[in-house]
Amino acid sequence: MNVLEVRSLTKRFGTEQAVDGLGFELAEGSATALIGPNGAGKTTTLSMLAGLLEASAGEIQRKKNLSIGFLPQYPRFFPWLSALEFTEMAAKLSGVDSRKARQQAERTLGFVGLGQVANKKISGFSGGMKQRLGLAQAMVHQPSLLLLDEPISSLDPTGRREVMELLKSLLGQTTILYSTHILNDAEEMTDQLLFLQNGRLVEHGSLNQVRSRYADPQIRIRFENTNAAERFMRESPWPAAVQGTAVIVPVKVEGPIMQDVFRFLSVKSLPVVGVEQETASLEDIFLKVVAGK
Amino acid sequence: MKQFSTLLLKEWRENLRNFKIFWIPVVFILLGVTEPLSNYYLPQILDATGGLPDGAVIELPDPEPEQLLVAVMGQFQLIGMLVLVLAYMGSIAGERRNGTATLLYVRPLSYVSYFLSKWLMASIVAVFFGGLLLHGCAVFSGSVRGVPGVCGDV
Repeated sequence: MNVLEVRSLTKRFGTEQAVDGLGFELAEGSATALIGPNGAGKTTTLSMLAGLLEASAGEIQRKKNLSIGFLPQYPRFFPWLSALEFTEMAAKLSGVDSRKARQQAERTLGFVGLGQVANKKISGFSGGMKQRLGLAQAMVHQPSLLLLDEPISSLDPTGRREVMELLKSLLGQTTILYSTHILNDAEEMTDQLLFLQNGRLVEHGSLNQVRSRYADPQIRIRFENTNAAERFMRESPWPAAVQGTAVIVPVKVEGPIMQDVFRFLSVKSLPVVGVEQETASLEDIFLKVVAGK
Repeated sequence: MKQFSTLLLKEWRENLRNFKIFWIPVVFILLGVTEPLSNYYLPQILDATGGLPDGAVIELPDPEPEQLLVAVMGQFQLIGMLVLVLAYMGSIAGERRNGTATLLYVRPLSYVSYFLSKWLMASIVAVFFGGLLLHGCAVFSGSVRGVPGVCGDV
């Protein structure tokens, strides 16, 4: 069941093509990470999905009665309101019953970790607190789709962890589409990856699918000294590259597998320090995708 | 209707907390008070600034409260209107520009109630609080002259 379907979504600003023929689907209860370099069109895409921008062409098909919560990249608040007043207002404007709005606002503020400062004026809030308040106003009406533009980029490592855990706990009932630069965190919470570049979807799929496409797995064998590494190079049947005291063996389909490597190492009794299979991190993939494979 | 009252509450809090609800009436008070006073003390003011040349005779009848009221209204229309315009101009454009409106616009918001909430709040400050003070000024201008004012003696 898809919450949202997007087909050939396009946005032009004058002659500039900000988003170009984007198409994807968001399955109910899934987490989708929108990744791409600066200026790739992530914010424009999210703004269109949130209904803040009119698409130049293409189609956005929302599930019936879909309620959306949106967190902009730099949320701005009325400084003269308290966090509770603002969240309550957000709830009411989103159609929450007046009597329940305050209660729901209080609960949401507690959930994002602002329970202690609910009655403080927003003007005194730090950047991280504002980011949390932004999250609170996006989810106070319990929307079934959350659109988050860089929800964690401006947080410190502790805050990032907390917010990620918080978002993960929402998955299942809530569908989340978020853009991010913090690829380590994206790696941790994603059912679908969407790579944007110059407004185009250059790569997509689950983390494993994308990984297998770009992975180029390799085995890194670390030796005690360079002599051993060079001996390995001379005597091993595999194409390898020396990197200091280590040797990198690319793993092709017909290439060596771990057991063969171990057997070879023990037969030759080379002084090995460590052997590890390396797969590409999302960051490696990101760099490869951006560079055009 | 719920949206409108929610937005009006927000406007009320804004006007209360940035003190517009206090300083705008104060400006109107000052405007209203200076008019009858400057009329009343006009001969002294003229003397203090060198007086009139010998032989010049100008009859300055004491203005009636009604006349003063009209003069004050003239002041309000000119300077008072300017004050209101300066205080409330850009209150929609400003919210759009600084990004605070984004968090409102993503909700199913009726633009009519958004506009009306701002307009009504500005009107309340101008008419209700301004009107209350105008009444005060009228009473004051009557009592300065020692005659029953427009709105009764004090």
